Amino acid sequence: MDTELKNSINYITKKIGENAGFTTPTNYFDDVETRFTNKLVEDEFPKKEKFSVPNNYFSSLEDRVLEKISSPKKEAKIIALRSKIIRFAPIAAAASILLFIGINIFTFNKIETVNFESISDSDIENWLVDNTNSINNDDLAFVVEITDIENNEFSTKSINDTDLEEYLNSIETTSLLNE
Amino acid sequence: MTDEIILIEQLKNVQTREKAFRKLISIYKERLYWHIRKIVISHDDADDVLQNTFIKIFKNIDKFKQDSKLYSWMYRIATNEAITFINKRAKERNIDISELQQELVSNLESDHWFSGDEIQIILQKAIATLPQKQQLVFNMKYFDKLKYNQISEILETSVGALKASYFHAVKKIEKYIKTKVN
Repeated sequence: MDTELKNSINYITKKIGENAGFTTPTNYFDDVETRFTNKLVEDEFPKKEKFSVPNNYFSSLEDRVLEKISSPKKEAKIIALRSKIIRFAPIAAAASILLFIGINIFTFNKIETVNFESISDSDIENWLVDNTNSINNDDLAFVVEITDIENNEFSTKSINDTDLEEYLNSIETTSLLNE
Repeated sequence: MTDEIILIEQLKNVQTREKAFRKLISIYKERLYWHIRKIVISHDDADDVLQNTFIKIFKNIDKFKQDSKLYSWMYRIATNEAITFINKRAKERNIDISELQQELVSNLESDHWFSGDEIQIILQKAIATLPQKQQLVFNMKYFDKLKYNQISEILETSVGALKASYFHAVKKIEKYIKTKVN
């Protein structure tokens, strides 16, 4: 048995050597004592959990969660989009204008009375160009007079179905969906 | 009085305990680390287990009976801590301990703190296939060069049983290497 064992050990040693191959970070052993002292201090910290929960909190948790899951949802109140638009369009338009005025006052740090007469056409035009996204159809509807619509080509020209369909396919529908 | 007996007395005396303990760590840290490392494989885990081992030694030094050597007693604590650690890991993962060990040695290739080449990984894989006791005996005898009577004191197993364990371990490892190398 001894010779057999010796031969086997010699074989393993010859193939592998006596180094397991494990290494440690440089200077790892230098501060083991210090780290141990720190750990000992840390170990003395109170272990007891100071937080508490009401009696039977955990035993009834499943029931409470399941109860919430299975209870019927409240019926959502439906508000007509049209009435909402009609109610908020003037407010939105007025707010946009006031915001524009406010920003200008803040930027130039000037206090002056501002009205549409005192704003140049180019200022309004610039604002419209820079704020295309903040103007929606409702804002436009609020300011466009009924006569403007009657005077445009829509009232005199008819549009065939193919053109209309093409137009509808070409427009960006995301904004409509968001509304 | 031998140095060990003096050290034990200092460790049991509140006045001298801390200083003596630093000395104790300095003397045994590397030996215990390498013993633990071969069981838990990763450096970070070995570091954790080493610290827990020293804490246990510190807290239980009053219970240490001088009928065994301090060195054997500490080695036994380190062994228990390391085995408890990997058992806990396996339980958390809901896998068998041998499965966990195979996984640990498979990760050696990418382990920053492993400089061995392919053959050393093969050896570690071979060791991981052994029963726990055979793994310990092989590591302690082959790498740590401990004597059977020292291992006997640490593992609380008879020398005869240890010799048989070592023989089986060596034969299995030899066979494993031969199938992988040739």
